[in-house]
Amino acid sequence: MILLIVLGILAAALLGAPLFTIFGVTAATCFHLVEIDTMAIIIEMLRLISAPALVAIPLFTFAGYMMAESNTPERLVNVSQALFGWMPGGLAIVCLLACAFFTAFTGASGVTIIALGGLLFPILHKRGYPENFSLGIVTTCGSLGLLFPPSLPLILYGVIANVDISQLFKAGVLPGILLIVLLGAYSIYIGVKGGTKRVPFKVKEVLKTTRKAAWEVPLPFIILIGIYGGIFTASEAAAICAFYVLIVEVFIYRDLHLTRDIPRIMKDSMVLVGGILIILAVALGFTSYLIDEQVPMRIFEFIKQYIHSQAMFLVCLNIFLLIVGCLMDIFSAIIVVVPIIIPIATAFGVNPVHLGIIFLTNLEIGYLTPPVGLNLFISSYRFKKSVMHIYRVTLPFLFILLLGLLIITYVPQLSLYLVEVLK
Amino acid sequence: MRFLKALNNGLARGEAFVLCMSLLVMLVLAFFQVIMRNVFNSGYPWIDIILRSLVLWVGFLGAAVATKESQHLCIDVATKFLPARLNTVVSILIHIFATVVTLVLFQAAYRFVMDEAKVGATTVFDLPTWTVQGIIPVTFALIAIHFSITTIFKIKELIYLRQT
Repeated sequence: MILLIVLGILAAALLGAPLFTIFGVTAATCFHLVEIDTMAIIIEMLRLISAPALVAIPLFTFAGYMMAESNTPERLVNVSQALFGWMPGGLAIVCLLACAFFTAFTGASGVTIIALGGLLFPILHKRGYPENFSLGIVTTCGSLGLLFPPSLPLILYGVIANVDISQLFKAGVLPGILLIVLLGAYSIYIGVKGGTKRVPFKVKEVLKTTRKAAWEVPLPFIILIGIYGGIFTASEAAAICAFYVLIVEVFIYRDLHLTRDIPRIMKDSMVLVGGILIILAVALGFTSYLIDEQVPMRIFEFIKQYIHSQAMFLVCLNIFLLIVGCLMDIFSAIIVVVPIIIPIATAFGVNPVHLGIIFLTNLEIGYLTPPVGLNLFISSYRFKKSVMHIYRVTLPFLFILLLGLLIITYVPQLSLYLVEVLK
Repeated sequence: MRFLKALNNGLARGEAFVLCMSLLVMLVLAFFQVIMRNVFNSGYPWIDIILRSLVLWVGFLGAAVATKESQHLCIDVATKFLPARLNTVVSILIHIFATVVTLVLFQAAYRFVMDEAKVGATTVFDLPTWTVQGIIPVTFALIAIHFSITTIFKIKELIYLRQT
């Protein structure tokens, strides 16, 4: 009977039932089996109101969506082109940086590929980059930048794992830079080999483009200095950021209209937030049931027979997370998997902050993993290319990111260095 | 059919309106609190409580709108590889499943909030807690309505597909 129910739920999940209904039915079944009233699910839900950091999620998302809908992407690309366009592979590096900035704000929800990929792909092509490379890089960039503050997945991980969010914000920086450097090196190689066109470096151009983006360039610095300096918390940074972006885009640049655009952007961004929060709300009941039944410890006891070392555990974790990342979107994956993995990883002596970074890097790569990584489909849809073709062109990037993942996993100092230095 | 469509859109418009208002209040209060705290070294504890309650409102109303726009997060592996007609059949079954689950959640939330109201628990400014928590059953009810209307539309689509 129970087996039948499990199979039924699994089938519903794989056929595309909204994930919150999957967790809802699972939680209800579990509580029913141990004869607890289903009201317990609602009581667990209210834990949402007791997490102060959660306010950061709607506010940062709103800010990110406002920037995506305004002319920020153009201005951003222009500044980085003036700064890096002279380098071999310069435009590809521009692409990496601009996308990383954007994903940090919008949380890898496909917005980057739609907003920036569409803008950058034709320029890359015009400058003589091979089409396959260009397509590969804009697809890959769609989730690059997840490790940089104030990325949504970092905040969500912090809330669920009960880890200080400002620590995670510090931990993600070096690993994030590592991934950009690795991809950048490959871009330079392609740039040199392909003899792509470069633009000469002009101070005048740098000044001109910077002046145009003068209101947006300081934003990351305000957030970073504020959080790293301990001046304000993540939620406070989110409030400042959303308010600032609203004023700048509506009243200074006038890219967005207060009554025509803002309500629509509010709605669109909150659809994403609502989609995440309702899964979180319903899953809280399910995960607390798992913890009460000591499921993580039982899994630990079981795998301890086969896995003896931390290194071995991390390999298995990576493989497991890549599969999860390829099947699920990053938010649902964090909500469901983190509460189970944390006790197991702690038992193997993995630092929870480092674990968070490993987690997000894996899920970031999962977005690009065939056959069902999400970015592959968004890109195939956006650039009207077959998914098979996208699989092929992203493959080199996938290998580079996997190399980065290995380094991030086995060099914990990379994640923990800044956390310790910037206390 | 036309009535259902109007109902679906009308509800979503109402949800979006309250959603935007909640987000706006959240934004203003949160910014005000930062200024008070960092510039004037004061700040009001009640603002934090209201902010956290607003997260619940924004999250749930966002989920209601997401239902109407079929934007819920899901594992859509199968739909990418199924032929159109089978896809519609699967989609109908999934929507019926989702409606039932949402009704179960509604029922649990409704009983919970009724209990809270009976006990008379309060939050800031002596506001009864059910005013904040009430959004949970209300949203589940709205989601169930959206899901069932979509189910009906999908069935109609299937009939149309069969005819052509």
